[in-house]
Amino acid sequence: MASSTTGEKKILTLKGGDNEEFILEESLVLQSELLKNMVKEERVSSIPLPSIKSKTLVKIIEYLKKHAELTPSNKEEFKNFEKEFVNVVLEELLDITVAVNYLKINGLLEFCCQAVADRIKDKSVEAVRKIFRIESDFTPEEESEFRKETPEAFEGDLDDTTN
Amino acid sequence: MKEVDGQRDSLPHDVMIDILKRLPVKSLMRFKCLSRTWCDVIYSVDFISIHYNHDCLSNYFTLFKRFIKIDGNDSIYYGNNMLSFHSNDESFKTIASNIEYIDNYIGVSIVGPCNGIVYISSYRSTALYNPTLREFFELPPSILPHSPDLSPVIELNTCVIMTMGIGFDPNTNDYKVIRILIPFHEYEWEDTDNYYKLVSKVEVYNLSTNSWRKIEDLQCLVDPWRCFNVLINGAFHWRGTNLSPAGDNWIVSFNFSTELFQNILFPEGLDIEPCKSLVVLNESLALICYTNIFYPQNVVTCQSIDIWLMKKYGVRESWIKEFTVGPMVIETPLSVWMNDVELMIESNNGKLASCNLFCGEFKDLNMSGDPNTLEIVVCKESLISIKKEREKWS
Repeated sequence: MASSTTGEKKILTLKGGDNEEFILEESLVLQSELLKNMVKEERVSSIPLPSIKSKTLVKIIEYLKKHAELTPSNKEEFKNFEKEFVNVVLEELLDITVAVNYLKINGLLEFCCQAVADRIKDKSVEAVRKIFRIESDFTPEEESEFRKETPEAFEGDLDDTTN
Repeated sequence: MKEVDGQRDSLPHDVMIDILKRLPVKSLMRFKCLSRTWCDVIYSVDFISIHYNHDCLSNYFTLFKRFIKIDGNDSIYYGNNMLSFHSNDESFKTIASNIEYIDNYIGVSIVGPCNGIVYISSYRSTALYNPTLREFFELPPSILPHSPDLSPVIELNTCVIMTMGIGFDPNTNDYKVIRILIPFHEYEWEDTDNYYKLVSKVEVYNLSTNSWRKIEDLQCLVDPWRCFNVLINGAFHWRGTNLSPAGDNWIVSFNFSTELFQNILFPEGLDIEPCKSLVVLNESLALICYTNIFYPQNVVTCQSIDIWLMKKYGVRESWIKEFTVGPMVIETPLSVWMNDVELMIESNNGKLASCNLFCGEFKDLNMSGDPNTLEIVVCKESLISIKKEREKWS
């Protein structure tokens, strides 16, 4: 299947999980290792991404556009954009991180993982369980044993919020 | 990992690792009780190594050691050796103060770190210590003659001079400690013609066997001075000397895999300069040359210092004078921290300060100890448990 073109720019359609379509220049998606391989090897013009929510895809496309415009002179502006980019509720940040990992956008993945780490590092065990939707499979006795092992890890002001 | 409402697929394993490796050990020690999956990941050998090798400034902290005399007593041996933890940020904030290791003998030394583990030795006992996990592992007594069980207060005239090092042998995955003893009591100091006959006794400890063994004598003396011991390239480095009238000295290295000593020469012309500190800077051996100034009270004397880097390990011709810093009030250069940008020094009167190698900015760190007793070990957070390493072998 040949890609459609306007002038010299190739156009590509990405289909999000809820079938919403996003039309963008092919050059933008080349930042994703996964999409780059699909485009180069199979010459597709439409790529379904059923595992990625449209809301998440909108954010990622926004990043791809900004990143493509990055020059030495607007570095500061880009840094501010990045800061704002991860300034979303944790739930959404995790969705983005997982999608970015799937799409293999390496620079952004690192940035997202660091942002998640910064956000959870001072959180309580209960909060992190809620965030990652984990049910404890330790007995209360085992858990209190952990607390006794390294009491300093449970000291200080721990954050109980999940966002 | 069980999903509570299945809205999101569970976190892919590699994303989980990528997030966890960026967390401080304090958070990881809390999150290990999230679930068995998280606990297994955090304690896995692979993850421990990924976490240790992830480089980020906030993973570093400093161990600060000083000696404090107890008021009203003039004996130089009466006081406390204090060890405290400090953050690696601009503030040099105290994380834990004076609680980790307190010993009222003067002979407490710390060397390292090696993979986040240091070796602590006092006249009473010796131990491996992981400051991140606050884990002590006491070692069996020395096998060398004149084992340092003696209190220097009682046996001052047989004071034992001991130099130490800690390292890791990647061929056998074994942690090792080396101790070098100068058997001063065996020598006749009037016999100056025989300086070349001076030898040091050497013993090596293996964590794999949890025991010491004697190895071949070292054909020179090793200076036990606190600011000249460095681990790099799988070898420990100290200053060697033969006490010859010419005052020759050089770098002695001990490779933890081959267990061989080697001599590394200083830059040409600096062999007999007395005042040198050895540190690691830009992943190279770095030699700091300065002048020893006696600071009379209330007189402030400044000096510039030169820093030489050995660009190619072991090659004398590769020494290059990389920085000249100062002038500043410096008694002893201690260590380099903050991504190889700041040099920590002992300023006059036992005050701790730091100096930026690039802009020369001088900062008082608001800490002090007895003059000439300050020591700084820059450590990286490490999940490596000495007890678990030991269990591998038993």
